[in-house]
Amino acid sequence: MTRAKGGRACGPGRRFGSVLILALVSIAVGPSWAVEPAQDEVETGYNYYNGAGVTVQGPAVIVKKNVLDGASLKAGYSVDMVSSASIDVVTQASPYRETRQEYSLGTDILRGDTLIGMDYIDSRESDYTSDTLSIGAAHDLFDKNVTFNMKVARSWNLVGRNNDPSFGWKDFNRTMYSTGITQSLTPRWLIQFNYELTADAGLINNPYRSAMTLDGALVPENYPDARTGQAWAIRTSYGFPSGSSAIGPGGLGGSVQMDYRYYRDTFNVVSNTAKVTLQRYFAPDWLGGIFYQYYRQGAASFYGDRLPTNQLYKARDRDLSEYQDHWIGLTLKFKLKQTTWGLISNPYVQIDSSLMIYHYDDFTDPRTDALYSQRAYVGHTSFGFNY
Amino acid sequence: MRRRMLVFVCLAAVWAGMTGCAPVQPWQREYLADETMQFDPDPLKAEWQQHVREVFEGGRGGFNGTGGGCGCR
Repeated sequence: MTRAKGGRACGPGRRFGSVLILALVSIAVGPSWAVEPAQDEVETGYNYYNGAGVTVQGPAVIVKKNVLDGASLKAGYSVDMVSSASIDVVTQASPYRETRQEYSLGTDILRGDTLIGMDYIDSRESDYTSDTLSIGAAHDLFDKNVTFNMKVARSWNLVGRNNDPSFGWKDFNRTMYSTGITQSLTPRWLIQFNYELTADAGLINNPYRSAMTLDGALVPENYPDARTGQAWAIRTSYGFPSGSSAIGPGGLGGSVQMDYRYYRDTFNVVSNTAKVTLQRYFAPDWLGGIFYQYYRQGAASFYGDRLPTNQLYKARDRDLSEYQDHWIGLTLKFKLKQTTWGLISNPYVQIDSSLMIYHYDDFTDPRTDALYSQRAYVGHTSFGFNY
Repeated sequence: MRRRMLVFVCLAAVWAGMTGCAPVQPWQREYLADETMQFDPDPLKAEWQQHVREVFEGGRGGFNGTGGGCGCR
């Protein structure tokens, strides 16, 4: 890890901890299981994010292997290399670089119409360690027209502060419960309902970030030590018939998917997310897609761009402020189905590119006192195959 | 509380109605098996997008997808 200014403490804009937990547990509880045998599969990718002074990039790989009849193992590895000079960092500390590594192991066992899965994830960085364990099950009902699933995940984490041994290591733990149901409405129409409850306990706030008082002084953020959030989501996918010339491998021309999520938590954050995705085959091997997502949220009850000194809980995390964002992206995938090259079969290459635009309603740039907004480019490239 | 129960009962009734129809037969699943019909068919892509989303949003959960890691601030 490097420091731009003589080893000064890492910037307050760091969000490795909370973000990491969210992401890891999301891995563990994602309800998108299909009750079907796993394939021997390798997927490799490279992620890229650049915007508002922050660059994150790194490789990732997942390998799946059937080991017994109905049982499979999977292993993953990823690296995030972060270079940050975000607005929080440049106004409260100094730019920094960071690397995080993650290892994961999991197994799925299929018995009849029931799939049971367990996953373990380990993640390390200089001021954050995380271990996550999850177990879940999915079951098909009504001639496989309905799939019901539920998962439980627990994440144990330790949060530190670089260059500050006196801070020690603080606990931050999360428990997540999720359940979902997917229904086949017609041969070309799926609908899915999901519910997820997340309970956090421990050091929830960023140990580096400061809040700002009415007279402009910086004071440490202080959050309640517990947070419970609930999310309700509905997703639907509708396939449309092929055109005269461009069709997919299964005879489908493409699909339109729509997602909506409502979220609220005990910090009084309420948000709404809507997303639409359109995919279409340009040829049996070529798939193109475009998506648009709109997100709007209200502020946490103790958030403030400037806060009274005597307020007990203080936050100036713009993730907890009132804002909206737009996210639009393109996808292009080339997949050679029923093609074998030696040990490799069904190879594919995929490129994703998207733009995010954020407008904050109550978060100002301290350097200009103007409301803050930001743009970011998000990219992902992957190559995968069966073996 | 009563209002929530009413909403839940209505949703359950709608769901039961849809389930009762159960119109898709095993030999009609070719379209449903197409990757364009699946929610988040590419694990690494879904992981990365979910990670980016959760880095910048106060809300969380509910959507499928897998995780990622690191902070983007």
